[in-house]
Amino acid sequence: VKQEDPYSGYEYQKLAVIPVGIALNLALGGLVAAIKLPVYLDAVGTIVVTMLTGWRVGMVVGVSSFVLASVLISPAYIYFVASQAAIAVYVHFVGWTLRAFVNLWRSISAGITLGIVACLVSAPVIIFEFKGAAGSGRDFLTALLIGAGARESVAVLLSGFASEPVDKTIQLLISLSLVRSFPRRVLIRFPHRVCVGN
Amino acid sequence: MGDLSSILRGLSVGLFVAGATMSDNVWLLLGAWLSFMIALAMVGLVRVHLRLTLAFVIPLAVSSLVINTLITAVPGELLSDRFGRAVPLALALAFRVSAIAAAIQLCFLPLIANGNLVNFLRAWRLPDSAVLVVIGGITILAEVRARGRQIFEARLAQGLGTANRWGALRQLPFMLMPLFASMLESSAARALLWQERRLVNQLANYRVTDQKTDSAYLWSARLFVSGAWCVAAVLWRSK
Repeated sequence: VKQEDPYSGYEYQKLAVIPVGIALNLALGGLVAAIKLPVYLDAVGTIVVTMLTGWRVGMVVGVSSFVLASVLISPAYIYFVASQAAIAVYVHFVGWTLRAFVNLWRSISAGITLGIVACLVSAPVIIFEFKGAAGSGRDFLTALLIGAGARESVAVLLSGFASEPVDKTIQLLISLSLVRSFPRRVLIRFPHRVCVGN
Repeated sequence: MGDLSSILRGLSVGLFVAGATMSDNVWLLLGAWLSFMIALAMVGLVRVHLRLTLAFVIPLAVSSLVINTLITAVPGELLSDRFGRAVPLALALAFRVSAIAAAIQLCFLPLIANGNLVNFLRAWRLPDSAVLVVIGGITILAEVRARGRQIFEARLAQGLGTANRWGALRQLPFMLMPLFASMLESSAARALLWQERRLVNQLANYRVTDQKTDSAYLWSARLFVSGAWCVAAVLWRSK
């Protein structure tokens, strides 16, 4: 007797795209971490998958890739899973509700706001767990602000506000250009693609 | 028995990670890390651990050292006093992160190597769809590497870029788009195959018959050690 398969074609498509998003997050994030660039680029996969399939799958991609990255790239990734979840929810919200990805300027402003959201979510981890260090280029700015007399928490927030919007805007624009460059025969399999104007 | 081993394995690692997160005793954390290094050396994973951990842990520790040296706890405090206070903090951070990484690698990497990961995930009552995603996530890394090499060689054949490390780095932005587009296309093909084969249903009947995993008794002993470690981490926290 054949068992009933509870999964439809789109459900399988969502399952199959999760490892691709994870691979994109790990490949870009790992590369940037290895060459110590002052940006992270570790959420491109999360953003692309959220644009294609919605926040639930995007959140699974973000959280899973950071759990995997904590084993394969750097153990500190595990502390920032909440940022990935917040990125997925935010991208879904601005993409669907505010139609933020239909032109360049709206996309840039969405990227800047995404940076502020990511900074607010990751700041408690950097302040309480890592005592101010993030292990990236922004640490120099944090140290400079602390040296100038700022409190540790204020310095972490200000350095985050300076670096995260740039990083997240770059990530959002890379993700948009990736999604818009996909062949139509592939995009047709993702009903959520409409939120990027395709 | 296999399911019990998997549960105990996960619990003992979870308990160790909890203890390491709570501990701020440098010597305790160093001891834990060195113990795991010995265990990793015994299973041939020490190079993997060092490559993955040191590339991140050293910059993190140095950043922490710089920042905590600059913080003034008491007005008029000497720089040497601040440095002396920052060193234990940076060392504790470095050893804590390294020990957690070693524990996770020691727990999961052998499972991937001997094909027991599916059993482990199912023992933890993970849904079959999630098991499928985890396995897909592990296998796709090799596919990314192979496709990346293909695209890079194709660009070289077109006379774009040079065949050295710097040349490969400069080619990366141009390789990203075709690489990801081909990955997405292959994911669409993979989804069709999974659907045709009703893979989620098939996974429910999957069992590795020849399980080369440690016994439940051994994992019970490790769980006990992890529990003792957790208690020690709380008892020897610096005031």
